[in-house]
Amino acid sequence: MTPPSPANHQPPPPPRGGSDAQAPQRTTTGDPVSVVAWAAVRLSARRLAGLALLWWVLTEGSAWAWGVPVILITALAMPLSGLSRLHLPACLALCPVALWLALRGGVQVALLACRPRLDLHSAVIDHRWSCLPEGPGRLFMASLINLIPGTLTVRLAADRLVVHVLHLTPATTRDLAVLERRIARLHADQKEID
Amino acid sequence: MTEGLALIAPWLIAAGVLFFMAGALGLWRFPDVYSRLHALTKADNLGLGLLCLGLACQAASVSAALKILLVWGLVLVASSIGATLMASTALARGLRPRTRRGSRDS
Repeated sequence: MTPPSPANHQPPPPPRGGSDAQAPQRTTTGDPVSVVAWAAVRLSARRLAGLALLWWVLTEGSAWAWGVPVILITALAMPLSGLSRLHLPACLALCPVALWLALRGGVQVALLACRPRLDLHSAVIDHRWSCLPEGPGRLFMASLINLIPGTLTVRLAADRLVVHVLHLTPATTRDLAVLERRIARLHADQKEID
Repeated sequence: MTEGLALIAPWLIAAGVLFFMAGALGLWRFPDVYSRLHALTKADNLGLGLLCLGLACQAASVSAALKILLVWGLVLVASSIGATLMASTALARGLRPRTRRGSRDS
């Protein structure tokens, strides 16, 4: 048995201040530079504006004396998400498309349900991932598919998405590919997708 | 503007109720759990969206209207994820989707 010598202590890790791309971890040493950088990433204008909008909506524009501390504490405590890296114009362009798809999806299911003779062409198809990388984008697409006409995600696999189609048409697979390209465009740091 | 919104609000709510009824009809008539999930996620979400839009038109302020629409957004997220969880659990438990052209087309 060789007990560790008491003099063998690790040197403290170097401070990671100044990096804005990655979230600096709060160090136990209390280095002021890293603490400021840690807070600056969390208190960005976009996060504060989003939380302020949410507070305004939830409280219907009152109780700001409570709201300001709540917003600040929430901004500091909320973990950083990948949302800030999304491409805003692409997100805004996706919103009407998603609403239109949800409208068409609802109308299609309602019409199918109200038909006197139930005539479904259900099928289970595989959608192979072509341009969407592994990560939140695929989860987002798997959720969005449940809203678009006639498709329901059954299984999310590493190489494909298993989709249940209520009423299979030749356009279904093409629509899925178009949707995948649209979602891939949300990520600004990704290279141009044709 | 406000009078116009108050005029269309009842129509939006009525349309929303129709979609809820169609969703319930689908839940009753569709053959298997997967098709029934289609009825619940799509028709009912659209019904709730129209209902919320109609209620938002009658809301007292813009923030109150946005709060009602926020409810719809949260329900959209929850029902979409819930539907996938139910469908994947059903598949894992061995419930085969009822399809016309064999079990798996690709």
